[in-house]
Amino acid sequence: MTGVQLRNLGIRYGQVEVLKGIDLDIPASEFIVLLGPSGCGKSTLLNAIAGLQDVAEGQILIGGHDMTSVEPKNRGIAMVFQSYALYPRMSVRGNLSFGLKVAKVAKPEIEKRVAHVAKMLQIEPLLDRKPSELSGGQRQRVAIGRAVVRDAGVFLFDEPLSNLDAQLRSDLRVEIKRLHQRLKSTMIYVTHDQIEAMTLADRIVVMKDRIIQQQGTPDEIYNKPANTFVARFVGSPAMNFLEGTVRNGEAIVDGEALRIASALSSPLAEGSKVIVGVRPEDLVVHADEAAPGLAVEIDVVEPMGSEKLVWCKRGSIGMSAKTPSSAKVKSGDKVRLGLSEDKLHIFDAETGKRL
Amino acid sequence: MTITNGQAPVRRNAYAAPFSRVLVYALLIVLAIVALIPLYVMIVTAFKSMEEIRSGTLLSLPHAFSFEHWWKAWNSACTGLRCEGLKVGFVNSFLITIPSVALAIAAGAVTGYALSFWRVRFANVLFAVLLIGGFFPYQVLIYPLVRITSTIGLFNSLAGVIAVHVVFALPVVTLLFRNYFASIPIDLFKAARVDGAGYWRFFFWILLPMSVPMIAVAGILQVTFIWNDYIVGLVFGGINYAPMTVQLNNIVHSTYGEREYNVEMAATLLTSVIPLLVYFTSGRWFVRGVASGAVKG
Repeated sequence: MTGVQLRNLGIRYGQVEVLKGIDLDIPASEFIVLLGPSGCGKSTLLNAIAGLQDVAEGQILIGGHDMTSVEPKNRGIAMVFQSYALYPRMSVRGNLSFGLKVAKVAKPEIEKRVAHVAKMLQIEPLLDRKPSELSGGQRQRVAIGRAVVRDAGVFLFDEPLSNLDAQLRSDLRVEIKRLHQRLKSTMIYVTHDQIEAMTLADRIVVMKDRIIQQQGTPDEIYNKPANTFVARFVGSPAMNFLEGTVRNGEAIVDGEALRIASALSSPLAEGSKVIVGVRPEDLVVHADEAAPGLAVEIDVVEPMGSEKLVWCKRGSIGMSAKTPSSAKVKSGDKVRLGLSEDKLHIFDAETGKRL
Repeated sequence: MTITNGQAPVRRNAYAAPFSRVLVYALLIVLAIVALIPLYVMIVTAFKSMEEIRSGTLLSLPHAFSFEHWWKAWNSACTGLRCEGLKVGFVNSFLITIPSVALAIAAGAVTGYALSFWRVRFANVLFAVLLIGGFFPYQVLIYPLVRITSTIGLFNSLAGVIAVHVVFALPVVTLLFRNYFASIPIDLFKAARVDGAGYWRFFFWILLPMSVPMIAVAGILQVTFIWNDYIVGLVFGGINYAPMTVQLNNIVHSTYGEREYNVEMAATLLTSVIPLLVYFTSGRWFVRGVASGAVKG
C-alpha cells in the first residue's frame, strides 16, 4: 500500500507561478478528490504527481520514496484521462497490454492479467474491438482497465467522467467507488463536479487560485466550509449569503436581526461586517406571514420530484430554499424563511474566512 | 420554404431553375474541353506517322495507330550522344524518387513529432526558421548547394540529388506532420508515457499507425514533386543520374534534321505516366488525409 506526500510543491510555466507551496499528505488506500473550478491548478498537480509535469520546487514522495524526478512509468502509478486517451489503432486487448509489453512482462502473465481485469470491468466481449467501435462509457471502462492492469499502488483520475452523459456518469461513479473498495489502492481524483467529490471522496481538497482552500472529509467540507469560496462551490444550489452587521451579538441583515451567537466560535466585536451563510435545505418556508424569519416573495418554484426548489427575493437579495414536494407554494406568494441559529455559517465579510 | 397541409417541405432549387443548371454544365464542359485539347493533341500525335503530322491535320484521329514512336522514345531516342531512349531516365527517376520520398517523410515525421509533442526548447523558433527556409525560391539556393555538395563530395552523384531533394522537402513535410500531430490530444502522449513508452516507442507503436493518411498525403505530394523536378536533377545528377525529365528535355532539344514530333509526344506522355498514376489511384487517400486533420481519434 502506497501513500503520497507532497512537500512544498511549486510549479511554474516560464515566469508564471501555477502552483505554490502545496503540502499534502495522502495516506495509503485513501480516496482523495481534488476539487476546484477550471484553472485552479488541480490537473497540473495531478500531472506533477504522475511525472508528466516538471516541478520547480518541492518534493513528491510516493510510497515513501522521493519520486520528484523519476520517469512516470517508474512511479508505480496508473492514470485515467478525461479524453480516454485510448490508443486508436490498437484493439482493446492491445490497449490493456501495451504497458505490460513495454515493461517486458512475460506473455502468459500479460494474458492472465488482461483476462482478469476484463472480467472485473465486464469488458470481455470488447477485447478484440477498436476504440472507435466503442461507446463513450465503454471507452472509459477500457481506460480504467488499462490503469488497473498496471497493478499500481496509486491511481490518478483526471476528470474521468466529464465527457459522459449524466446517466453513465452516475453508473461509472459507483463503479469507481466499488473498484476502490476492491483494490484498496490510493486514488487521487481530479474533478470540478462537487457531487462526484462528495460521493467518492474519503477526503476532499478544495483548490482555487493555485492554493489549497480547505481539506477535510466531505462532511467537514459541507458542514464547516472554511471560507465563502468553499461554501459556495460545494452544494447545489449554492449556499445563500446575506450581508450583515453585528449589533448586540446579533447580525442585522437588511433591517432584520438574526441570532448568530451559537454559530460563532468566539464573540464578535460590535459593528463588524459579516456574511451569514445558510444552505437552502436549512431554510424553512412558512406560508404564515406572522411566523419568525425573513419576509420574502417567491420568485420561481422548481419542482424536482423529491422536493421543490423555491427561489425567493427580498429587494435585491436573492435566496433559494428547499421544501418538501407536498408544500403548497407558488410564484408571487409572500412567505417567511425560517432560519435556525445552529445551521448558520458566519464568515468575515472582508476575508471571507469562517468565524 | 413553405409547408402546406403537413406535406413534406417543398425544396426549391433542387431541380428547379433548369436554365441556370444547363448554363453551369455547358460552361464546365467547354472549359474541360479547352483544358483537354492539348492532351488530346499529344496523344493522337504520338500515334501518327510523320507524314500524317506534316499534312497539318492536328485534331484528326490517326489513320493507322502506330506504337513505333513509343518504342523509339522508350528504347532508342537520342539524348545528346547516347541513344538508349527514356528508359535510362525512367530508372534514374525511380532511383531518385523512392529514397528521396522515403527519407523526406521519415525526417519530416520525426521532426514534426519532436516539435509538437516534446516541447523542444525554442521549438517555435526552430519551426519558423524551417518554414522561412521553405519560402526561399529554389534557384537562389542552387549555387550554395552546389558548393556544399561538391565540398562534401556528393556533387554529380545519386546521393547528392537525393540529399538536395530531402532538404527541399523538409519544410513542407515537417509542416504537414507537425500540424497533424498538434491535432492529436496530448492525453494520448501522457497515457503512453505512463505506460512506459519512450520517444521512439510512442512514435513507432502509436503515432505512426495513426499517421497513415498523413504519410499518404506527404507521399503523393513528394512523389509528384520530385518526379516532375527538372532543375535539381539537371544540376546535381550529372550525366549518369539524369532523371526522366532531364532526358525528355534532351530528346526534344537535341534532334538533328527532322523533328520527330510523334516521338517527342510519346516521350512526354511516358514521362508523365507515374504522376498521373499516383493521382488517379490515390486521390481518395489524399482527400482522406487532408480531412483527417479535423478528425480526432
